[in-house]
Formats: sequence, structure tokens, C-alpha cells
Amino acid sequence: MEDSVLDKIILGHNQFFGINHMSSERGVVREQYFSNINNIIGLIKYAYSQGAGGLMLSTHERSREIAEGLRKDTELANNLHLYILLPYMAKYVRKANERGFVNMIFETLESAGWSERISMGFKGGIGMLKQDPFSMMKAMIDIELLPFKGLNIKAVFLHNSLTDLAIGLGLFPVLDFFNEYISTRHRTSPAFCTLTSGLTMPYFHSEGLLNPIIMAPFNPAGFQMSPSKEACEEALHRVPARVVAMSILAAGYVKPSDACAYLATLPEIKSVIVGASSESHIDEIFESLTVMSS
Amino acid sequence: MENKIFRGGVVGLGKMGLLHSAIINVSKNRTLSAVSESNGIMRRYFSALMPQVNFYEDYKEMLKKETLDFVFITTPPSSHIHIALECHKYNCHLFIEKPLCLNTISAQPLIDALEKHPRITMVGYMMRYDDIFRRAKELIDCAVLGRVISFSATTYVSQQFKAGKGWRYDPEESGGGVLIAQGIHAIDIICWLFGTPRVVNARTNSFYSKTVEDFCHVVFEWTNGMTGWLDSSWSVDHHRMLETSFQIHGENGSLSVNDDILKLYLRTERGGFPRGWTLQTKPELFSGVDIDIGGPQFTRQDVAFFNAIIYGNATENDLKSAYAVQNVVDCIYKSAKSDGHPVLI
Repeated sequence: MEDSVLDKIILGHNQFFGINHMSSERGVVREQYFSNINNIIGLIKYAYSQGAGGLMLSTHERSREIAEGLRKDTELANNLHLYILLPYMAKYVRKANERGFVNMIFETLESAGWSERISMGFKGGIGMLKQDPFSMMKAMIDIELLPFKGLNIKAVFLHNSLTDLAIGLGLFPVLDFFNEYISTRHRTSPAFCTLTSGLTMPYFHSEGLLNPIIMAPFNPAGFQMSPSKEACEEALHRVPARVVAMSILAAGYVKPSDACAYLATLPEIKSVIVGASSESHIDEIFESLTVMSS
Repeated sequence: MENKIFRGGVVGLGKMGLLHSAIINVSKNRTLSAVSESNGIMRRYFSALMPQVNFYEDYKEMLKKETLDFVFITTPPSSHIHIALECHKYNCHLFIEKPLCLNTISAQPLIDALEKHPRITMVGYMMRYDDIFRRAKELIDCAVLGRVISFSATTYVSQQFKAGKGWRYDPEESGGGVLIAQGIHAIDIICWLFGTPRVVNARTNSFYSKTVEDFCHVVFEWTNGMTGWLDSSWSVDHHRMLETSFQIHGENGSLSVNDDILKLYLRTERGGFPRGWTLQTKPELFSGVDIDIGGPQFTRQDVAFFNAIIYGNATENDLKSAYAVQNVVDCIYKSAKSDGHPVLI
């Protein structure tokens, strides 16, 4: 598969699900507003009209509803690129807290209906999945991606917790498997989210995973940039990769103009993901990004 | 010592076992040598994926066959103490996930063993390594608030809205419900910030879980007259992640702290802080870590444990402090059982 060009601006999804890393209270207020699906689709449409070519969506419980909303809008369904982040970790952490790690995985798989199992090519049953970690991972990926079937998926990102966990454990075969499976079975670009890009990017390079798509925080405050802001910048300069900058506003701590001035010093970054909860917010952020790229 | 490679083991490869294993692995001076996991599926998966690590079904066999410098115990709490005692026999330094145990009586043999033959210990109260709560501790210790008079605290997560299944809901295995599973982090922060309270009154409510509490309300009092309360639940709406917050009231102002932001209000300028509001947020206080998996506080905590082993530093959240936290929890449950009767700690 050829290396695909990523959209310059990707609209983030956290605001739709009540996630706000600066203020949980603000997150709840947004969740109330976006409990109406029309408000979500309306904002996506506006962001698209203002230059966001892509939308990030995690496999949150409400993603199915958003995917349905996108399907009903011909222009969005045909032209808006989806960037899927899987899995939605909070859901699995909650389940793992309650049921334990192994029960959480197999109860999730067992909860798939028959039609879902058939469309996943889910053969051999749960017993077989218990023998082989890669079969289990295939089934988990397939089940997570089901709601987005038929939509315009540009890339599928592995959640930062899993990317960074796999790197910590030295599980390159797992990352390599994800890379292959997303390309071959789902025919889209595999991608990796990380909060440790200063470590992740050199690691991928040393293991022979070349020019990967990486989503990682880049902001002037150094927020969520591990092991350090300097190490992340150095890896960015040194290791060829297609990088999507996230947390560019450091959860609201950094002004859009300052964020863009910082990104302008990192020419390797061609793509950014930004969250925005209103049209005026989109106007403010996108204007700064347009100035940066012009 | 600095050039030595320290060999580690993990007992229990669940969510926390995986997280600590990854953190162990990312430094040059320590290595994950062995894992003990009783679940065959997890053992099969990870032994295939990590051929450099020796996997065991039984931790006793692991201890017998391996030479380990330290062990992380990340099994359900009812098993912590007997596993820790066995590891102690093999001279291992001990990291035990929270809670330390089901009750203080069960922990006593380990306390006694460590008195006779001390090892480095740490219990997983990782919130002490969160940037914002560390900052709050510094502010309280340097007395910008003056004497602390009172506080209120909450710890909430939207998790439990029906009867649950598994060991968490069996008090013989878990020790209790939301208080010992999640509220205990706030109890640890309370003891860390203000010292051990003198007396507690508590009420619990087991609306969904039946066998363990879903809601816990506690009132604390200290010998110096300071008071405070904690409200803890895993059955409240609008908290997709565990959120802990404190409102602390002192003679010279107040301090509001949660996972996202710290707000200091001073009536008079003190300690370099102006009169009025000072706000500090998570992005402002953030500092990077070797690897960020579940939040940087987990990595900082584990690094503090490793540094204690290498350099002999003291650990803050050691077994002794966790025992004191456990004692407060015991007294809270005792009070709740006697309809909120005050229990002296």
C-alpha cells in the first residue's frame, strides 16, 4: 500500500464525548450539548466547510451513532476522511477493573452478535482465540471497526496506552501485526498514537517499521511530551515519519496563535488534530492554522 | 550498585501487572526476568510474545528458580500478604499494588518480618506522584494556608450501576467495595497531607452491589481539632474516569485541588504567593517520564521505587504508611457497621 497523504487539519472527537483534559466540569457541560447528535453532525459539517478534511473518532459507545449520522450526509460520507482511534480505553479500563483483564477481553468478544461475527469472519469460536494472541487481536480489531464499515477510513490508530505498553514490554511483533493487519484486512493505513514519541519513533525505526504514521503531542508547554519536549523534537527531526500533532493547545493552556507559532518551527509536522466545541472555536483555531501553513 | 542490572519479577499479569512490567522494562538498569500468572490464557499469550521472560503458573516456583532483586505483586488484595511474605524470604524488595491487604490484622506478619529483616517496600498509592497533588502537598507543608482547619474531598467514577460479578464484589477477596478499591487513594492522600486522623465516623450504602458498598461517606477528626469529610462512590453519573477532588480551608485561605487544576486563594500574601487567586494546571506542572502508559504518576512512582533500591532512598508510600492507611480503612468499615458510631484510630 502506498503511503497516503494525511489531511492537514483533522477534527478531534474528545469534546463530543465529554472529555476535557483541563476541566472535567467543562467536559460534562460539552457532553450535555453534544448529547444531541444533530449538534455533533452540525459541528463536523462546519469544520469540514472550514477546511478540516478529516475527523478522528474513537471507538466510544456513541461512535456508532456518529457514524450513522455521517452516512446520512452524502457529502460527509463521500468526502470526509475518518481517522479511527482504537480501542476506547476508558470503556475497557472500567470493564477490566470490574471483571479482570482476561474476562474483559472474552466477554467483549462473546458479546458480538452472530451477524457481527459473520461479518468479522469470526470462525473457530472463542476457544480458538484463547490459543493464539494474534487471533484474539484480529477479533478485537474487527469488532471495534464494525461501526465504521463502508465509511471513508483514512487511517486506524492504535491507542497510545497500547502503543506505549507494547513498546515498554518490547512487543514489536504486536505492533508489526497491527501494522500488517490494518493494511491487508482493512485496506487502510495503520497508525500509532503515542505519548512517548521521543522513544517510540526511534524504536520503530530501529525495528524496521519505516515512515510510520504517528500521532503525538507537540505543544510549546511540553505537555504530555515524554520522555521530554527536547527528546520528542529531536526524534521528530531525525526519524522520517508522517506525524499528526495532537494536544497542540495543551488542553487549553496554550493560545492557538502560540501553538501555531511553535508548530511553525517543526516543518516535519504536516498534519494536526484539534478539538473544537463551537463554530467560533473552529474559526479561531483554524485561522491560526491557516496563517501557519500559508 | 549503579551499574548493576536489577532483576524483577511480577506476580499477576492483569492490567496493573502489565503496566508495571512495561515500566520495569524501559530502563537500562533493570529488567523483567520472570512473571507468575495463574491464568493459562494470559500465560500462553505473553510467554509466546515475550520469550526473554520466564513464565510460571506458581509464584513459589518462580521465587525458587529465579534470582530476583524485586517483585511487583499485582494480584487481588486477599493474596498480597502471603505472596509478599514468600518474596521476603527470598530477600526481594517489595512493590505491592494497593490496597495493601484486606485488613491490618492480616498485614501484621509482614510488618513483623520487615522489622527483623528490612527491605525496600512500596504500596501503589500513585496519586502521591501526580503533579497537581504533589504541588498541593508542597503548599500545605510550607504553610501558605496557615493552619488547616477543615477539608472536603470526593472521589467518583461512573462504573457500577448493577450488581457486579467477580472477586471485587466478594468482601472476602476484596476487603470491601468502592472505599477499599478506589476511595483508598483519597484516604492515602488525606493521611499524606494531614497525618493520621484521630477518629472517624462513616456510613455506607450498597444499593447496586449488595455485598460491598457503592457509596461511602466519612467524617474525620484530628487531635488538633481539624476536621474533614470524604464522599466516595463508583455509582455516580458523569465521571468517565476516576476523579478525586479536595477543598482545603486554612487560616489564611483555601486550596482547591483536583486531577486537572489547583486553585489557591490567599487572604494575605504569603510564601511568595500573592493575595487572591493563584491557578496552576496540569499542563503547567507537567514533567516528562521515561514512558507514559497509564499516566506519568505511575512511572514516577515506579522510578522512586527503583531509585530506593539502587541508592537506598526512603520511599514515601512505603509499607508502614500503607499500613496506617489500612488502619483508617478498617476503622471506617467498623464505624459503618455500627451505624456511624465514632471509632478511635
